[in-house]
Amino acid sequence: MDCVLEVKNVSKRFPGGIIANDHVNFSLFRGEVHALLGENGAGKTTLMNIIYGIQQPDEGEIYVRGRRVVIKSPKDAIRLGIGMVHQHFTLIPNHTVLENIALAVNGSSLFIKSNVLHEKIMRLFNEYGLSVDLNRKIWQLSMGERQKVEIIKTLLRGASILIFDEPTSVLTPMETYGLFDFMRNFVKNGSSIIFITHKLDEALAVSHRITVIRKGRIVGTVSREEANEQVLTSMMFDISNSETVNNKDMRGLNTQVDRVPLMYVNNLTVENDNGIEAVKNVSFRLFSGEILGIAGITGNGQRELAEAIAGLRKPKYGSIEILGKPLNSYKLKELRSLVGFIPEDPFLAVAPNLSIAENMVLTNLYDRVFNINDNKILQFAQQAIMQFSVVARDASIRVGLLSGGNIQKIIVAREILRKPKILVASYPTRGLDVPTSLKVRSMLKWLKNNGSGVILISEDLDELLELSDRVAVISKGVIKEFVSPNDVAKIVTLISN
Amino acid sequence: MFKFIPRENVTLKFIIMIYSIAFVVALVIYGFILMVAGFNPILAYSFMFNNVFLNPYGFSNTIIRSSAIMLSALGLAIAYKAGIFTIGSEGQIYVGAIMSTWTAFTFAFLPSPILLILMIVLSFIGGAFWAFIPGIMRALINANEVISTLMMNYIAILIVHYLVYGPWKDPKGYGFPITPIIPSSAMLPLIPFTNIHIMPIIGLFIGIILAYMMRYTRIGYEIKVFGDNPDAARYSGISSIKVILTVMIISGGLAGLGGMGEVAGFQHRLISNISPGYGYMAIIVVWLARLNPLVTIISSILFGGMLVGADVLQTRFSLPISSIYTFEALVLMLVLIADLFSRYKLVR
Repeated sequence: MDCVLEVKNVSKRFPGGIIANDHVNFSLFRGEVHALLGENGAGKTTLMNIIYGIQQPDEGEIYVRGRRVVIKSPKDAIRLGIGMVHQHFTLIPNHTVLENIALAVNGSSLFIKSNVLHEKIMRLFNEYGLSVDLNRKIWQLSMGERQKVEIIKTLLRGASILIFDEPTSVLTPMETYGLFDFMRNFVKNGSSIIFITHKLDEALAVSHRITVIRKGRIVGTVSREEANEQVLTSMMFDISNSETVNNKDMRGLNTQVDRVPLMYVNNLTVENDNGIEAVKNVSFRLFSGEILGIAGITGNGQRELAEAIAGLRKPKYGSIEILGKPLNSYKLKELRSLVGFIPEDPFLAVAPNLSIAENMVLTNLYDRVFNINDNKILQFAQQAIMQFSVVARDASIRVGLLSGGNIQKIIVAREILRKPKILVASYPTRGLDVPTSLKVRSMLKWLKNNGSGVILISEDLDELLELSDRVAVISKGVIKEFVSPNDVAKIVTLISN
Repeated sequence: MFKFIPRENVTLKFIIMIYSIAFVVALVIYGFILMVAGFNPILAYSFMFNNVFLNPYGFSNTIIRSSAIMLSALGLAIAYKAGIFTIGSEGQIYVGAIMSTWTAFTFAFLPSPILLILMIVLSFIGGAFWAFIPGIMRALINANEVISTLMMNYIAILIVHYLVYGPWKDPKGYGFPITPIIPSSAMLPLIPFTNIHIMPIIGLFIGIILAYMMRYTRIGYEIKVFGDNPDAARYSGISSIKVILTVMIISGGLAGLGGMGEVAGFQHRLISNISPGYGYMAIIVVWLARLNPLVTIISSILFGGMLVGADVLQTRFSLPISSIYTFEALVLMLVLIADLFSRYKLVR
């Protein structure tokens, strides 16, 4: 096979000791769609940023069409025929499609040679069956149409290697099919595509080969023929050491606690930011002294579900009842004192220019007379710093100066230590070092043993199996089944279907 | 290629140094402009400094001229902390001036202290109301407050023009756009042994109260969180509507109070340009003070001095007033540059 792009032994470390890419090897053949599959934070985007010249590798080599290259910037990448369709589009909303394309293609020339450009675009439309009204403004277009504009831009720059970064996350199912058709078409005459995704079915639908990346390392590459959902799931999630499924004693403890229902979720349907139903008709109950695990591949509605319960996203249909009262009868502040929330994106939950101490009271300042120099607050902050080993001199440091992992620790510490009745924890240990992760896990158990109910959303199957009393498997916004955490095989099967 | 990277552990000494450099650079550039215009900058500066800060008459003038700037700037310090970039102080000063003039004439029969308190309250309410309109528009439909407050300025200024050219015009004013002098019971008392009215002292107290509010109270905390990260504010249940309206009402009310000071303490009547741009100068002042209420007081006095200095240069050297605006703009620009360098450093 003719190898158009090869990455050899590439490593990238970030400040704070996070290794995004650890001696990664990756190759792309002529005429193939190659899926790069991995969970969020696995290092997919970092690898692509390195190939596209946005970031520089700490070590390793890149070969394009057999020649060793150093890609210092996206300009270099474009010159080498590499194009990238970003997850967040780089279009100017108030300009027309044609103007946006012209800007990308002849950025340095003063005049838009619109008839020449027009002709070129039309040729591409015919060749690949794309079509967008060139005279409409970007803001008038659907997400799928905007993506087409991005694709046209890269094609006109002469790209023969296309990188798609999570291209389907903004698309409707119909638009997704359209995109896949384009991908198949595009590689037919010798071009190649790298398709970044965390969705198994999509990887299986269009790819010729699939490479799985986990925690910055390549787990392996399989051809479409060898691949199926089972194989890929076991590659994506490390479930080899099943001995973690043992904490029966811990789990047994809470059965003695009175199991009072804290929350009822009835037929809940929630839309995502693009108005697509991300959670569909979900119902469950949460009891005190229980950890309910939500297992599933990221992007299957977990975020929308968590935000709905936390009161930050209005459900489309259905209801949530907390401690006997409907959720929308609470003021958000009252709700937050009852429902702790560790969001997926830590920057949603901190004020970066305020100190650690000030951030420690962000969600519980209404139940005390506020004085930031109050010894109680300082002690609380100091305790959090100690218990969760936050690397900071003292509680007066601005949170924005801390590393991502330490910011995560601040949020987790605050939301657990204030002992909310209900805690929604989305990926609580993401980005944390191993000792702190273990600490967080034991603190979640402590919270549950104190009678709180915890909803634990995680991509770490070990963590879910260790902590959960019940596991709900979510896929495409639907809870498929509630499973006992002992039934690992069943969970894996459900996730991958 | 050059890159900006954030500085850590910025000391107060460093901040003072970098701002002093900015100020000196502004003086030097303006010095060149003076030279081109045919003046000796060293002579002009030393003359200005003597008559602004060293001579007692000049100094009391400096304080008087800083009064409305100070009150407006204190309000802006709070609003900008919340990330609400109102530029409406100018109009709110005018509304405060209208309210206090109206009160002074309508309730002239009241004893002086009660009348003054009523003027203070009503001018505060007037300015606050003027700020409330763009505030509620921002809070509910996210209308850009920069545009709406600027528009409100024009409206307020034109209302004053209407009043002083029309119904409120002083019949004995020889046709000038001014109202009659307000009753003496409506004039602000002076600080003993000076000719400075008490509004700057009120400003000083308000500055201390605001500094306390930002540091020790829940609403101050909510303002800081909202200004720093609106997403985090929403996450924690802080009401954006409450924060926006609070800061708009405080900033508008204080600017209105500034307008009251001009009428009751300085001009003793409403005149067509009761504020020669105090509300806009307050914007520069508050950035110079990095939104710190107490530093704001100092930097307003500095700006009051600049105005007096401008008067001095105008009368002594017959410099045009527009050259003073040039100086102000230079200071603002260099302050913004200094602000950038105090937060970031340039590396290769």
